[in-house]
Amino acid sequence: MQEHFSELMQKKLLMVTGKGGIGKTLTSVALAQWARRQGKKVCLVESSAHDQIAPLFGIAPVGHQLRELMPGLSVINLNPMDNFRDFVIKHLGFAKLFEKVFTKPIVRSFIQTMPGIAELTLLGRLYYFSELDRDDRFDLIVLDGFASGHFHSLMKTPDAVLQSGMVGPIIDETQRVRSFIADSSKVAVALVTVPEDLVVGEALDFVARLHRETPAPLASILVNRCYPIYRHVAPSAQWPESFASGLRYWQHRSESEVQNLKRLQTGLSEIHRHDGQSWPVYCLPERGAFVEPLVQTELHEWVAAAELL
Amino acid sequence: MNAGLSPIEAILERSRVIVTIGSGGVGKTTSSIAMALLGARLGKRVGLLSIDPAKRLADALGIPLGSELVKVRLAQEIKGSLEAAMLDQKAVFDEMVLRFAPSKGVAERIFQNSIYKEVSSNLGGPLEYMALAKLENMLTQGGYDLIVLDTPPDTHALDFLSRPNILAGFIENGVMSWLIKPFHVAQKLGAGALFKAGGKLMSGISSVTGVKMLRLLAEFLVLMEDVIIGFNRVGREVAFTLKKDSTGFVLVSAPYNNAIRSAAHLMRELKTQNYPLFSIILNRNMPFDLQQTALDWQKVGGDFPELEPGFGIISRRQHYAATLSDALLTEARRLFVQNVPLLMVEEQGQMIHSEDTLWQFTDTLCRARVKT
Repeated sequence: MQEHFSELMQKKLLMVTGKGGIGKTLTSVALAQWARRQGKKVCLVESSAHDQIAPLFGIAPVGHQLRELMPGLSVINLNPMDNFRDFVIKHLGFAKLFEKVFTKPIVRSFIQTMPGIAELTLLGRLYYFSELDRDDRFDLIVLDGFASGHFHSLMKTPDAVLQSGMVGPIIDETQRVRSFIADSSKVAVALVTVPEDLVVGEALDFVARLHRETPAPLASILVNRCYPIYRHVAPSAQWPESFASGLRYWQHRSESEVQNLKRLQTGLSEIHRHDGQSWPVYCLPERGAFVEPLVQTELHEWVAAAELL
Repeated sequence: MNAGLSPIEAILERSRVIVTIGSGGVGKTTSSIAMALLGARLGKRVGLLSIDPAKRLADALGIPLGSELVKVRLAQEIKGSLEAAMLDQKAVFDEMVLRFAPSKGVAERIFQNSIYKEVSSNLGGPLEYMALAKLENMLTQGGYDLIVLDTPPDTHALDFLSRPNILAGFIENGVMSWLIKPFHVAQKLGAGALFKAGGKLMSGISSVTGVKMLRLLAEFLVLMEDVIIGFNRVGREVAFTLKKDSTGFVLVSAPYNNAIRSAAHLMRELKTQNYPLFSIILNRNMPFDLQQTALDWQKVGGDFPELEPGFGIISRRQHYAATLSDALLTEARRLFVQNVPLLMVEEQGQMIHSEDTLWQFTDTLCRARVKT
C-alpha cells in the first residue's frame, strides 16, 4: 500500500484550499510537518492581512520575512506590495527601475488598484520559491491557500493576464508561471472539506470547476472533522442524566456524516465518469479542539489517523 | 428597551444600518439574513444586501444573483417587508458604469474595453466597493427602516473599510491626470510623443508592461474617470453614514482559534477607525444541553471508557469554546466603552437551505444566551 499523502509529498509546491473555517490552516501545517518528518525542508506560505500560522506556534507575526519555526520548517506571510517588489526586481530583473519608479507614492497607489496584480505576483513568488531559489532552501512549499472561491480566481489569473492584451516581460513571466502551476509533477492542490451536507455540495462543485476551468492539478481531498462512528452502547444506570443527550448527539452526527460521505463519493464518481479523473479522499478525525501553541505530536497523530474513504 | 424582545431583536429595533463582518465559515451570511428576517417580523421595511453570497441562500429566498433589489415573497406572514439583493460582481459593476458614465456612448466603450472586461468579471476586488455604492443608493432612495449589509469574509472586510481611501489616494495623488494627459497628447501626435509627454516614469512602466497594455489601460482610465470620481464620492458619503448613531457593526464569529483571532483583529480595526460595534454573534456553539454533558463527563467520564470516543470530543470542544469566548469578551470590554453583548448561538443540527430552516435559525438566534 502506498504511504498516505504520497501524492502530495513528492511535489515542489502544495496548495491547500477549502471553504473558510474548516481547518484549512491546521491541515496545511500538519501536512508541512508530515513532510518535515520525512526529512524534507519545508516552507509554509500564507498571504493574509494578519498572520495565521505564526500565532499557532505561539510566536509573534513574522510578516514578509522568512522565519524558521523549527529545524526544517519555516514560515512566511507574503504581502502584495512586497510580492510586487520582489517580482519586479527578482523576476523581471528591474532593480533600478523599481527604486526609481515603483517606490513613488503615486505609483504605489496605482498598483494597489490594479486588479490581478496581487494574485499574479503571489503566484510568481511561489514559482520562485519552488523553482528558482538559487540557495535551494526548500524541498516543499506548502501554501495555506485562499478560501475556495478566491483560490479559483487565483488559479485563473495567469490565463486572464495572458488574454488581457499585455505584452513584454510580464507576459513571458506569466507564461512561465502558468506552465509551472499546471505541471502535475511539481504542483499539487489539496482540497479540505468537512462531512456536512452543504459543504460537501460546495466541495463537489469546486472540484468540478477547478478541474474544468483552471490548469491547477487537484491531487487529493481531505475530509476534516469526521466524528467517530457510533456503535450501539447500552445505557447504564450509573450514567448522569445528561449523558442521554450526549449519546443522541454522537449518534446523530455519526449517521448524518456517513450519509454525507456517501454523497461525496457518489458526486466524485460522477465527475470521474464525466472527466475520467479521480482523487484519493482522506477522512481526518474530529479532535474537538487543538491546544495552542500547537503540540507537534498532537498534530501528527491527527493526520496519521487519516483513513482513505 | 421593549419588553419581550430577545437581545438580538432589541438591537435590530434601534438600528438603521447594520454591517456584518467576520471571517469565513462562521455563518455570517446566514446570520445577516436571519437579522433581516427578524427585522421584517418586527414590522420594519428591511433591505438586505449580500456580497458574494452562497447560492443556496440566494435560492432559499428565491432571489437571483445580480444587482437588483428584489422583493422577497415569504411564505410566513410578517408585519414588515423584506427586499434583498444578492450581488453579482459584473452586474453591479455594469450598473455603476451606466450610472456614472457621462454618456451612453462612453458606457458602451467602457463595456468594450478589454481591461474592463477582465476587471468586471474575472479578477476579484471591486465588489465591496460596489456594495458601498449600492448601500448609498439604498440609504438615499430606498425608504428602508433597516438595512443589513453582509460583507465578504475575512481580510476582505478590512479592504471593505479601507477601499474608499485607496481610491481617494488614487485620485488625489494625481495618478489619473498623470497617466491620462500623455495619452490625450499622444492621440493627436502618435506614440512617439507619448514617452516625451509621460517622461521617465512612463517609459519605465511601459518597459515592464508593454505599450499595448498601457494604451488599453489609459483608454480604460480616460473612459472611467467620471465613474471613478463617482465611486469616490459615494465611498466618502457612505463612510460618513456608517459613523452615524443608528449605524453599527455586528461581528460574527465561531469558537475556533483562528476565527476568534480574526474577530479580535476586526474589533481592533473597528476601534481604530472609530466604527461602533453593536454586538458579537458567536455561532456554532455546542447545543446548550451538551454543556451539562461536558461538565458531567469531566467529573465521571473515566468510569465509562466505552463513551470516550464520542464524549471526549464533546468535552474538549466545550472546554475550548468557553476559553475562547471568555477571551473574546474580555477583548471587547477592553476596546469598547459601551457594553457589547456577546450572543452565544447554538449550532444548527441541519442545513439551512429554505425559508423554513432560515426561520428556525432566527429562532435559534433569538434564544442566544448573552454571555456575561
